[in-house]
Amino acid sequence: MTPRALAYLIFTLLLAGIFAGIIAYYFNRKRYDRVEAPKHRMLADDDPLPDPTGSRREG
Amino acid sequence: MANESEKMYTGDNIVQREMRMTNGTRNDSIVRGFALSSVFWLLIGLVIGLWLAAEMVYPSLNLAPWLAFGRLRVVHTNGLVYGFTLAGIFACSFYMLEKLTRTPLAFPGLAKAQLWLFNIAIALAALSLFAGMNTSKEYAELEWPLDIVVVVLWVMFAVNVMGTLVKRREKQMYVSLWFLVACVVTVAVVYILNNLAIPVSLTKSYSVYAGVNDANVQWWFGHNAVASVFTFPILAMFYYFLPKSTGLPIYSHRLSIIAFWSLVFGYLWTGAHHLMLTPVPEWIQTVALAFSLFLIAPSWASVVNGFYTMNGNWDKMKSNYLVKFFILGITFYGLQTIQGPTQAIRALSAHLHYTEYIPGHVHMGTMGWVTMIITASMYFMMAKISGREVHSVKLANIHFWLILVGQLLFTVTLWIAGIVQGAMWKAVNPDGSLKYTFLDSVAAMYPFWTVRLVGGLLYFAGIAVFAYNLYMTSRPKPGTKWSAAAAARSQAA
Amino acid sequence: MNVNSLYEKPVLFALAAVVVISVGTLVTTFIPLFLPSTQPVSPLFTPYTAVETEGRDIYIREGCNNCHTQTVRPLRAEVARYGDYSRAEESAWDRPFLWGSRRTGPDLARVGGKYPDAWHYRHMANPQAMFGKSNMPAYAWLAKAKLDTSLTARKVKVLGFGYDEAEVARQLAAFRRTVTAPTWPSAQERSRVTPAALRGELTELDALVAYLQKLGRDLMAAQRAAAGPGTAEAAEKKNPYAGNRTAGEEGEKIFEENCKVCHGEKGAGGFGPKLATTKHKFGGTDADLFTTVSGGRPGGMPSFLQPLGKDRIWKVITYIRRLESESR
Repeated sequence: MTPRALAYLIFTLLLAGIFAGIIAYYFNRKRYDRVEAPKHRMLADDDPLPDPTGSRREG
Repeated sequence: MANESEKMYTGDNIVQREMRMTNGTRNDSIVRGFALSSVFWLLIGLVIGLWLAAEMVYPSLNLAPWLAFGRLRVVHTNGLVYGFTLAGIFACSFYMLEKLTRTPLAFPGLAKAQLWLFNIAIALAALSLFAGMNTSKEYAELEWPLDIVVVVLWVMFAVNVMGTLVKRREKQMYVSLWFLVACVVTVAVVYILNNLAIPVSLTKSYSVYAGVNDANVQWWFGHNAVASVFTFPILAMFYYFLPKSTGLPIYSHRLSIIAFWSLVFGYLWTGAHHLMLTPVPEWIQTVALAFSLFLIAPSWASVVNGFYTMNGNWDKMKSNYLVKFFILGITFYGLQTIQGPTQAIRALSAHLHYTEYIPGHVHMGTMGWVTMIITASMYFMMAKISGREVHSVKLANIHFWLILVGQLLFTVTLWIAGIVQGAMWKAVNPDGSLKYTFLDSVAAMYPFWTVRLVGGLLYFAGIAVFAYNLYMTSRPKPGTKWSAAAAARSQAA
Repeated sequence: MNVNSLYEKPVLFALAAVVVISVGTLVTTFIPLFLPSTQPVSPLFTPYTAVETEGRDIYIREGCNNCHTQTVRPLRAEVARYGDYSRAEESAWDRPFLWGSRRTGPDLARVGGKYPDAWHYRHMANPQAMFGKSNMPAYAWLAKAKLDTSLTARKVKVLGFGYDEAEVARQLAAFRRTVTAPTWPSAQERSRVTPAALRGELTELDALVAYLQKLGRDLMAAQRAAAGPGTAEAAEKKNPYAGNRTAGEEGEKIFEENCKVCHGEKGAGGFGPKLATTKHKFGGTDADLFTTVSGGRPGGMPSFLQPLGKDRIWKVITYIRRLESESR
């Protein structure tokens, strides 16, 4: 294998690895609630007078 | 920090408090200003588009130098990319920012100045392009003084986006906000780097790059201008306005995280797929092709996310007049992001590049995806701002069907035209000589160009209905809190 | 550290986005700026003259690049239609590049020297008069506009073409003398489209035509020089269709589509010489005529070997023979 082909291969594997890592991280069950929280909160953004401390509740 | 924000709220005057109770934002007038500007430039850009479509069939319509196809095409593309789409993005961004951060805009005065400067800049841009002052680089045709104005406008926008995000009172940023940030940084980087030029006069400059490099930089820009104007902010609107208008949370927020980062990473590699089989180094073309194919994945993650959001609630396609805009819009986005990568494949590029297929592809994105999403978002937003329902659901439905049929007639015709054209260019006799002259291939296009014009007219009719409906929706309804607030404001003044 | 905090820190998030978009940018756009493969230079390709530079700027101003490409891809049919494929070196002086993205009209990368100047004057003034089915806009008004040369010296300097102001003035004056001379081969057509007041001046159309005539010329000159005389494909000697009536009729159709525009109705003559005659400019034997049509001749006769092929060329020659006999 030429060094050039090897470089292409390593680069591709590296990207695939990072990609897999990101998926594994975010699709981990224990992060589910936190990662998915904003999609529920955005539905309530029409509250007439938002509670300024409300946003800190989940942190 | 919390105290400070509290103070801002209790410090409201009566007008502002009334206005917030309409469910609008704290800066309704700015949002409304950008929305109506957007519709104005949309109408202008489409009239020019119709004229161009007619010129293809009747060349005698090139009545004057400033009406000649070469100059007019540039006014059409710039008017719609920068006039219509950017104004739509600004309107929706300011609205979403206030909502998703639960914070008023950081610098409302700056946003108001941006509204004025924006419209002046677009008018000057149109005039300068009519006059033939252009750099020839697609979607970056504006000459250097206007480039500087565009950069200033962008900085004004970025300051408000980042300022409001920093001040926000919602801990996590929702996916729409990520796409806004990506839009802000990507446009800044690609626009500035591609427009670097050495002026010879106020209206003329030369690119700092030459030949192959100029081509490579230009299409790196060209492709990512598409990404950061026609994709990132439109996805932001999709992710916000679909859940808001249905009350259904997006199917998967974490899927959108994966989609976001891979999309933002992948897009920047693909510019050279516009330069397949040109003198640009082969490896750059191949890398662009590989990443183009990869981009199908994150693009379709958004499509899947949209479809699954509707899971079990598909009846809303009928009962909620906005849902069909969003669902058809994301479907065209899905088709677009399959079509784009396949066009990058060398064998297909050899057949399709430079033909009518490419305008067909682009117009499905702009007329199908971008306009469907922006117009639907504006209906939702404008109704919230003026504290009333949309003026007419019936008209909105007519608008939907006209732009859907018009767009399909337009784009499918051009795809077929492009395949025919490519085949005619390629056809050879057994002895290797050419079967058709170039003129034969032009003559074969006239029926297609006529149908395209008809599609364009239908589409324009749909947009005219939309403009009327949106304008009627934007008027304060007598006897509502909004009009009371407006009255109180005019009394105070 | 918690990666989720990325979505809670907008500035950090923006920086992360910048880093993520920078990777592809660096690899595919920034680093290539400095590679030899993206900026090859060859002495074969010369910068534009002062007039050609102005013509190029008119090409840009009118947005010609919106309908015409300037890059021939290395594809069989494309090379046959337009000429040899484009090389990176050819664009070395192009700021901006003008490769285009759409062919509503044909590619122009090899148009230089293909037709005489007179052809361009007539075509630009009214394309439909020459090609009824063309949808190109007419640019007659370019001949009614005096060429503005006030910035030429500055432009040439910014573009780094390597000649000074005096040379710019000399080139402009020399070009003006050439095109305004009554003996110039295209003088008649130029006078026809140019208003009397401007016939002694340089017009925008003069500059645009000069630019078009430059496109691809350097490459083709270099290739001709490299090929040398006598190494070209040996001409065919004898017309296989001599006297064949059906071949003559086919030849007439081919003639109408490809030749009439220059050589006139029934070969009566136009930009190109009269063909309904027994006295041909470059010789009247079968071999002479074949050589002329297939290889082209300097002064505006394009090569038709690739687009038409030998067979159709012989059919056209059969038709020309018929015109000859009718002229007697």
